Amino acid sequence: MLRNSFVHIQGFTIDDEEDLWANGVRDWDDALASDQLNAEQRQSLEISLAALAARDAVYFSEQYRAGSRWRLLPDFDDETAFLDIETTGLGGDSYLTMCGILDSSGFKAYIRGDNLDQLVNDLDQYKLVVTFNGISFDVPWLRRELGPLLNNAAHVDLMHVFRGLGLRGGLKKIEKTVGLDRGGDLSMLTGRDAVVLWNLAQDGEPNALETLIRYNAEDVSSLPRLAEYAYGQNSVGTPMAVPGYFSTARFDTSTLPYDSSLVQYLCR
Amino acid sequence: MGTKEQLARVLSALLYTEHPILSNTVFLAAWGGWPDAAESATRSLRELVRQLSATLFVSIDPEDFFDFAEQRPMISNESSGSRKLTWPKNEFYYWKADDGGRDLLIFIGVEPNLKWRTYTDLIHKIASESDTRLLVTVGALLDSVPHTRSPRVTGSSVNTDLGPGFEHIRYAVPNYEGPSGLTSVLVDRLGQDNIPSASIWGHSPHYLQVAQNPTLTHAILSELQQFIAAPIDLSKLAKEAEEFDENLVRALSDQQEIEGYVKRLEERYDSEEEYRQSPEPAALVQELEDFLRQQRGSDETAEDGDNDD
Repeated sequence: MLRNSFVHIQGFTIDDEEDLWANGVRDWDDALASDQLNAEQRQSLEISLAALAARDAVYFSEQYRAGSRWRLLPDFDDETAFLDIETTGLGGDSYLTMCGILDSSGFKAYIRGDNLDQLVNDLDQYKLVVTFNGISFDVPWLRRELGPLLNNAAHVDLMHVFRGLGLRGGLKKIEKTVGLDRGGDLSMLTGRDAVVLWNLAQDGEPNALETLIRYNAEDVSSLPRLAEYAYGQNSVGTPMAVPGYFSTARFDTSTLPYDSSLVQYLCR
Repeated sequence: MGTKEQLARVLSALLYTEHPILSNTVFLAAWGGWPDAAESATRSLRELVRQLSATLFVSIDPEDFFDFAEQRPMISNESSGSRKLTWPKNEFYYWKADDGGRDLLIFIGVEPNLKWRTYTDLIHKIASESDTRLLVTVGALLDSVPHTRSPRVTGSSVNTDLGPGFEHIRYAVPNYEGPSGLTSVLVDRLGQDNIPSASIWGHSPHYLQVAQNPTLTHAILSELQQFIAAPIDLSKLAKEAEEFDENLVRALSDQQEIEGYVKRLEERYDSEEEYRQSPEPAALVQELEDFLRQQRGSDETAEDGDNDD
């Protein structure tokens, strides 16, 4: 939890934070009641308390480097969107085809030509957005196509968090490494197949859109599990590990039908 | 064309052969095609029709609802030597309970290409005329599940209460939002009349290229049994499922590539089942917080006790 975290205070290193914990200063209340902070650090902590009370996730986002933002996860769990987009490619004329959002109420698919125009509005409700490689890809792409968005939300990019744990690679490689491999035929698809699925859907291929949505839903639904894993690994043995982090965002992707023969066609 | 003529034209798509009087009815519906993997959904309902000798009483004329270039009529040779053309069928059957209990309305159709609202209006009309108290839609999908585990049958319902007699049945509330299918349209249409509904999906292993999957049909019918007042004999289907499983084991025994893949699916299936059965994360955190609070409470009580001394 953020209240156990001290590295965002000016002049504090991870070693200083560990020393504080070792000296029995486990959270901000302990720290303010102790004599282990100077006036400036005390003031910084009071600002943090006010920011947390005001649900100002951006403040905390600015205090942490991308790889350390996992610390924000439990405190903003109810206001978190796990997000992944699909596009028609990476080139200049490529465009967004869909965006999947998972939060504590479930999974929602935003489709180009259908309900994509609701996305900017809906994103306003979140204080935290969690992606995989979203700092470089998803969020800039969304902003490029849809204009300013997520201005009041912090961003946890799990790719950076996993790099901090020494794990590099794409989403599926990381899943495999940490034992969260999904198995199944859809996990064999890539972003390129998602482009083909979109094009097939535009050409009137029945069930291609449903299959694209399921593909996206599987990727998005994997993010909370990865976030829990990353939080667990980073916080183990520290006061932040209690009570730990269990995301309330979960979605049973098996409730979304998809066309297995299309997947086989793409994997041929 | 005036409104009256339009309505008459729409209603003329319902081809009645009988007007049964049904009461306290459970309405079961399944569509062939893609929401009917290995024909498991429609076969479950056909098995019900067969066992109960349910009566066909009305069908929907396909003319206005299908693009026949997409959903082609089928031509076949009859034993008499003649040729028979079969159009997409959308048929309603009924079964009346002898003891005045719940009657059954069974619909087996094909997902239409066109005019979903009119199509669901027609189904709604039959449901209303049949005193429908509960709708249960049945589907089957190809999924990444292993054939070596119990067939997965999932249920969902937008209603927390499925009505008198079904209070014990609890399904997950669907938490998907986005482009939707015909069942959602029908559920919404009947929901406007406060008719509760549940949706049941059987999951068939996608790597099995089988025309039928009796194991899954058996599992779907077992799930449906709780909605049906009539006793359903599953023994024949159970035997068929057993033979099907044995044949599968034989057919896949020398395919090492499949074996490895199935092993991975088994691991995934097991962890998913564990995940499904685990308490909701929020409940887990609450439980842990309660425990810690309790611990703190007992520590404080102990300290107080010391102070009292």
